[in-house]
Amino acid sequence: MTPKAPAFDEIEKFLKIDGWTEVTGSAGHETSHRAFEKVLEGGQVLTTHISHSGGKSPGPNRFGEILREQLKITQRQFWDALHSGHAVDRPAPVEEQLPAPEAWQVPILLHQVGLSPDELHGMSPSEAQKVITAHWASPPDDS
Amino acid sequence: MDDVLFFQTGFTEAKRHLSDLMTGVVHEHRPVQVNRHGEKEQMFLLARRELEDLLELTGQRFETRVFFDDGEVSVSLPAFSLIGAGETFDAAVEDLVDLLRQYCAQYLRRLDFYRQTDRRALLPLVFLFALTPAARQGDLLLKVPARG
Repeated sequence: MTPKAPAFDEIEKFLKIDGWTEVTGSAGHETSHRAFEKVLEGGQVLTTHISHSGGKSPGPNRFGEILREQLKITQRQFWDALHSGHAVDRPAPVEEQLPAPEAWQVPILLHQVGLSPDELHGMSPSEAQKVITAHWASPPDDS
Repeated sequence: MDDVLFFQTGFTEAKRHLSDLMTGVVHEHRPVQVNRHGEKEQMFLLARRELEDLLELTGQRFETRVFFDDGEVSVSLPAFSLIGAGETFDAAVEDLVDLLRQYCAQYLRRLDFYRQTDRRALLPLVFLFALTPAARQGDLLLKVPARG
């Protein structure tokens, strides 16, 4: 399910509700993002970062990855916490990871194989590998 | 059999012969264990090349995932919980490198904290990234995995 993406301002509001701490950078070092951390019982450290442009929103797929890999919650828990003002109960379930190609595969798929970004959406690394291998194994097109 | 495998020296001795010690470590590829207060405190001197070999031989790599939204590309590095984004794939990789640089600097400043958490597992990759010249750090994210 593709999540509805909030603005970064709303993500920051969620972080305050959920008890995250802003990690300050070294003095004089310009940072492109603001980083936040939350330490869970058992020594698990959660990390997230938000853009300085608070009014902007991440794309829905990027927000899905933020939920899965950074906040470690479902989108329902995110919106519930934002509306109720109560922190999320953890450990929380996370939504299943969507298949996605690895970064090293993307330039090959886009520029050598000639696929479009839409065709790469939802492609697993093993599927991407098969496409790349088949492309490399095929004779060069002389036409 | 002697159970001491590394060449060892005491702190005071090491200070006195630091130049020779460094020559041995760097040019003769001889790691050294420096002891203080008997063997209560230990420090290892290792040439950069040996450290790079050690990190490479762990076989760990930066595993990424790429997502496409309308007008936005995201490159995620789940082990570090970092997500770079941009209008193009190259811009997203650049953003992720920038984030990773900030993260590694933070990690090395607060190593005493992170080594007591689940983030301890990131140590080899943080060192590998930090040892890599800035111009080549992006290549680490695009490295083709070794076929095994």
